[in-house]
Amino acid sequence: MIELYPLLFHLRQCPEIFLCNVDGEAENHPQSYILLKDVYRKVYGSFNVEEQLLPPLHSAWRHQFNDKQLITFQIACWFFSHPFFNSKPSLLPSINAFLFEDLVQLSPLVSPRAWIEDEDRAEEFIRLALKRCHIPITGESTAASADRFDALSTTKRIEIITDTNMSIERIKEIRRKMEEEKAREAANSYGRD
Amino acid sequence: MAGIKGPSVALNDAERFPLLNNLELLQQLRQDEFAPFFNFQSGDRLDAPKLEKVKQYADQIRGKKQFWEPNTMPHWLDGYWAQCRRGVPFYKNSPTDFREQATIRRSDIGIAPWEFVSDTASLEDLLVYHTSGTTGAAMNVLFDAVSQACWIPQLQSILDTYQIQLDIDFERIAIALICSQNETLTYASLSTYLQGAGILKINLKPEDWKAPHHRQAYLEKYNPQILTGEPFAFMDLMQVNVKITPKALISSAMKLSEGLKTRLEQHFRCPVIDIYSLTECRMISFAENGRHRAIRPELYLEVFDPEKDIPLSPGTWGELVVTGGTNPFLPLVRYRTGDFCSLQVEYGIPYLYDLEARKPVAFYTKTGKLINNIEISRAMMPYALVGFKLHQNLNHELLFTGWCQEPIQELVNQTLQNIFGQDLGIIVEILPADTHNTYKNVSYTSDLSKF
Repeated sequence: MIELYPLLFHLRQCPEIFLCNVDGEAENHPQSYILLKDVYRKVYGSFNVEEQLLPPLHSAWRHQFNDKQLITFQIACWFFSHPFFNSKPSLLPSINAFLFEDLVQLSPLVSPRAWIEDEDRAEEFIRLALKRCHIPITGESTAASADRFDALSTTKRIEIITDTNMSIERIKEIRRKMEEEKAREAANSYGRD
Repeated sequence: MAGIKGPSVALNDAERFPLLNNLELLQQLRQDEFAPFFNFQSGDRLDAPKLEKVKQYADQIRGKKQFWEPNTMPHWLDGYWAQCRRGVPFYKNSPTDFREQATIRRSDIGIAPWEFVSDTASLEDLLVYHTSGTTGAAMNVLFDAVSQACWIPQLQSILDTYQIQLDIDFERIAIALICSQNETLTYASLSTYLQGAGILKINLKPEDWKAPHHRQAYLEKYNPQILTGEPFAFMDLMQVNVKITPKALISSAMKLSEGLKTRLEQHFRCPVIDIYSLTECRMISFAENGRHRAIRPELYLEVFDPEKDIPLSPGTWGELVVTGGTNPFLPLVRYRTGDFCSLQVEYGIPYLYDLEARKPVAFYTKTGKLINNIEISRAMMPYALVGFKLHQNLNHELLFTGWCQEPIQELVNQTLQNIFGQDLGIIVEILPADTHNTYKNVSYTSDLSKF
């Protein structure tokens, strides 16, 4: 269990360097790769851990993601560097899923900077990460957390907008069909009109 | 009502009857030497999958019926409500528990009928029926060919209780709808469900025929098995003195008085059945031993307080509210019918007691000519009235009160003069639409009515 606001404060303190440079100066690996490995080790609780005990990042992974996604990963690295996550190796699979499933899915919809600079997106980021890691928020019931997350969820918002747009199109189509002559060749076989 | 288009003719017979190869009876009915001047065309548009659905519905409604027990809800209701919440725009974001759902009214549907179209309904199947609204404002009712055609199985389920069967005969008329109005749609048609048997809609007004005696000749030649109509039309049919042998008369659209029922039964020597039916959901019940017997297990009936959104306990008189039906273009949930009764479930069958629905009211001109209140409803259709009431005094004077945002006082006055003539007093009052707060949208009363 953890309080939301210290995490929110921490996330919004993300240094500028995490937001602008993905390749860095290392010869073999880009900066994001190095940051990810570092944060995995921190969460594991040891910097001398064997590679195979950490989630795998194979050498060609850089080419699977665009710069926007890599910057988002770096923001996540900053977030998980919070002391709360130190030495909790059981969280590694969830953190991995958060990075490569949740954030990848959201990256076309949210710019990396918005995760830090927009209050709602920052809260969404944290709630999504904690939800993935099954970490409850202090002072909130499961239902209250779920409600608050639904209210902030970018995916949900896009779904509603899509639904609304579809509904508007459908209404237009129904109204158009109602005007068609063939739809109006209709009679009530036992009525009196 | 302004902005609502009327019906139109747009199809050919092959499109009207995709499964019927033999259209001989149809041509014969249209071209008969005694045929009336038909002014409309209509077909059931049933293709094979749609016909199958109608047959399945017939099996269900004509088979053993399972309604619901007192103070319980039907077994299908939770699923139906979940489906409506998921797929019908108007009901989305409604409470999960059906019991918390508010009632809806005719005006909800009239304002935005598209809000009630299920997401799963194919718009290729959309049909529009424009109703004048005997008891409410005119509106468009959307439906599909299947829900439209289901009126015949509903009718059969009523006839079954009288041990009356419709003969399936593609050379005969199964059902004739008899009208007696200044103006109405008339047509000859066939029923695919009844394997090509004839369906007629005719108007008894002499002006609709080449010669007045053709009315007898035509009806006697085709001798329809079932006549449907409203009490005024049946009264006029008796006057025409036609010698036909129907198996039953089905009276709808207005309440049938016991006196007229007896006269009609003596005249036509067959049962006369008074049914209660709404354009929005088709048949609901039929009169039996001084009460109304429900016929549709897939239509849940409740009674609500007329003013407040509170369901009333069994036996309490209030407004009838319906949920369910078969129409994907208008799935009804707690729809206030505008009609009043109390409800009792007895031996598993719901009965409507003291049903006050569509009471026929006779109006008269100064010369004694009878005016059917349907004529008045039809004449008011062009105006954007949210409701109106009309009363006739013993001295023939007419008192009209309407609720409308537009200044239509003169127009209404002129319309009533066109119907009743200029030799009686007419007082028209038009009030702002938002002051309309009576629970009946349209009400007719007359000190001269003999019903």
